[in-house]
Amino acid sequence: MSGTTQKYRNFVAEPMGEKSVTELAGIGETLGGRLIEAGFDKAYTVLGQYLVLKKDKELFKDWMKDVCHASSNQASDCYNCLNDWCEEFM
Amino acid sequence: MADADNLDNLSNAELRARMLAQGLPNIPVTDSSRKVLVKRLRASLGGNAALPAASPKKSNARRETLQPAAVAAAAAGQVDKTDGTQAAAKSRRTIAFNPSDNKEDDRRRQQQPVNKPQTVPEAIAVVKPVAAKAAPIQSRRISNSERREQPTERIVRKPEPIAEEPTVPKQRESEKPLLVNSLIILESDEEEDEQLAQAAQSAEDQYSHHNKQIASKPKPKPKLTASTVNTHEYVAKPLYPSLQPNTMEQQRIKQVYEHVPSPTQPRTTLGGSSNSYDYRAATGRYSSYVSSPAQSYTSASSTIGVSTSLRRSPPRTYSNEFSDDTAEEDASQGVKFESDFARNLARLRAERIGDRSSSYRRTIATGSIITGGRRSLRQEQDPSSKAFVRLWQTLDNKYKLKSKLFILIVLLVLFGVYRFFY
Repeated sequence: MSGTTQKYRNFVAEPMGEKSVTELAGIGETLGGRLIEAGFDKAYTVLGQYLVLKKDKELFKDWMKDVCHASSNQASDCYNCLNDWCEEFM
Repeated sequence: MADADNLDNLSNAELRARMLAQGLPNIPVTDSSRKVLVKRLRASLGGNAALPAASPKKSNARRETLQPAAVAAAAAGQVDKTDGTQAAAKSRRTIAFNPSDNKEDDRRRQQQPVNKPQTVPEAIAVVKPVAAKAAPIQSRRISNSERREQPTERIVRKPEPIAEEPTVPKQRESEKPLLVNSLIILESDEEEDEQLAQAAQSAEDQYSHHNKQIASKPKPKPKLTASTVNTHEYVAKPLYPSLQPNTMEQQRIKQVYEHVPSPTQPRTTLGGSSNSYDYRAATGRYSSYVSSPAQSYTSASSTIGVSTSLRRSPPRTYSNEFSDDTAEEDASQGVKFESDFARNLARLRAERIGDRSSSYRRTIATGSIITGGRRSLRQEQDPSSKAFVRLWQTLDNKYKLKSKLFILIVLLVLFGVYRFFY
């Protein structure tokens, strides 16, 4: 995991609560819109999918690519964000 | 394609059962995750190598099986072939799949001949191929697995210090001269001390011999300490009473001058001091100011002889004030061997530099010398000055302080000029 972005640090720094899905690292307006269309409007829903896939990186990245057409980097950023949040708060 | 159609038509539970039967992880199949899981299952059914990234267990298993095989291949290469490069290259080829590894092989082949000459000892050369083989395998493992092989990586790094051992003595060699130099300095100090002590002893012998010849009239030695005490008493006494003993000692000095034989020429300088002495005798206050050093001086000269005090004092003050070792040595040797010219010169220098208070110190120093306190005096004054000089010399040698100080001063001057004009 190379350098962290401010978005990543903001997300990992505190409980996610009711944060929007667009506050996840690697997910901007475009991907966020697609995810909301797919029903994943909150960050915790994406977290739920991450947990359903049993924290499997490859599966989660595939899911991200499938749901919102994320690139590999974006999917990886989102995975790292959720993974570190889980290590911190779960 | 029939399998694929079946997979799409399967229910979530059936799909999960198929996944378990296929050996995939037990992941709950939901509407959101179904697509991904079908994709994974399809990949695993169609061919294991189709999507290796999608199956984490597979990738883990591959890593675990790859590493022991690599180690075994490397070990076999070590045992069978003495030529390290070929064996390492073959073992690498069995493991390596990426084209970039061939480049790495080439690099290692280029590096190994370079490394081999460094391992000059044969015992190390026997050990070296093992490490040389281990290194590429390690790099391969690192490229495959992320963190696992760090402890073995440390083992690989061991041969590097072996190869670098020849370079270590170079650093030590660079340190040695300092130690040697320090030893030399210490030895030279001891030699200086010894030389000075010998010179002092010989000079004292000479002077004692002189005194035996001269001192038919002069007073015995115990008065030396009394003379120094007298100086302090003169300072404490009122002015007018001090004049009377001055005149008495003037007469003494003149007598001594008359009686002292020719070999000590510095009478001229002493005459100068005695002139001031006369002047002091005429003016009361001035005499009281100067009388303490001068009288101690004259009293010492009166007891042991003018030549002794003159001979001993000038080089000593000169060396003390300048703290110059070579000058001190020369001066001490000059006292021993050379003519009166050196003595006069040293004394003139000392008088030129020193003020009246320093002359006072000088007379006290002569007294302490005569009573044998020379060593103690050196311990008090010399070590600090010498240590400072030594420190300065070492710092100068190391950092070239003189040039830097010069540059600093020049810069300061320039800055001052700049400030002055602008």
